[in-house]
Amino acid sequence: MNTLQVHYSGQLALASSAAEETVDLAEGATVQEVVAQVAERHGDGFKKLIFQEDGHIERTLFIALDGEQVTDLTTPLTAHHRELMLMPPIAGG
Amino acid sequence: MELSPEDRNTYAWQLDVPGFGEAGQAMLRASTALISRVGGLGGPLALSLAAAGVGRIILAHGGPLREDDLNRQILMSREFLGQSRAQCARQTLQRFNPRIEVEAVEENISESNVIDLVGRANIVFGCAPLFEERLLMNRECVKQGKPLIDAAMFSMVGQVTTVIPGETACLACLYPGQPPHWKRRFPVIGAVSALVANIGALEGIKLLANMPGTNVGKMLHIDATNMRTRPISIKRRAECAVCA
Repeated sequence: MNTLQVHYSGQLALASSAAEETVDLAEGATVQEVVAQVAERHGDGFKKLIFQEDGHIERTLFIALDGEQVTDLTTPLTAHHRELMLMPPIAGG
Repeated sequence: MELSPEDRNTYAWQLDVPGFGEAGQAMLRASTALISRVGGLGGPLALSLAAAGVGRIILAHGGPLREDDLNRQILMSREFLGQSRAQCARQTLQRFNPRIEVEAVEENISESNVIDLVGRANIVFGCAPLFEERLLMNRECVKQGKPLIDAAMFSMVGQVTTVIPGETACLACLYPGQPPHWKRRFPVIGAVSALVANIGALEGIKLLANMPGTNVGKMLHIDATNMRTRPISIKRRAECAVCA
């Protein structure tokens, strides 16, 4: 089975037990599905940063796949992909 | 603009940097930079711009200095507790480099001052701890066609994003709305702020001095837990309310 490294930045890293983890990729899985999959592994504090109240992925959550911003959450993940980054907005100064 | 003999002496060591030289120094000398907030990020960023010789620096930061600012706000000093942060920062910078002009604006960026302040700058640095201010500056920079370097941090990570209006994604392309979970108080070690700040300062120096190797069109993600940096290509949103 193909795997993908998922990296959590900022508040998500604090809300999870690790800053990154490896996930198994189901055949044809999309970015949105993998985000939902990892959200299930963590607590409510983590989920709150990922999802809006209507259940959609929070629109200000910045997502990057192998160094490219993801704007289409239905992007399919393949064996060539290496790293997915989930980055809640930060403004610390 | 020709450099004076005093400028040549002060900046002699950086005039030798390939791609910079007297032409780059003259461009910095002729430039005005606006920095929104001069705390943990904006302070070291301003210091590096002052050291480099940016001709005029406008510091916008409201409120009095507090004791719990002092773990990271390196332009401040303890004897200024309870007094204006902007004025304290201005005095520190002016003592450090009297050859530049430093203006202290004792208020934060708001609807009432953003048009004027952005209008007077050649480049804008966003270092505020609130998205309201960052997105407001982004809107005005896009409107006025001014480059914006947005520098941000949280705990052990940072981000520096370069916005060139009309060319790259803007901040509202990345964050189409107020992030609901951002809190005014955030974990911070001053060295992480300064690290992120100096990457932002260097990006601005490169842009102003027309040096190669800028990060235009990218967000640089800095992870200080393992000292890893990742450049991430950012995309304009066709439906962006600010830049589309």
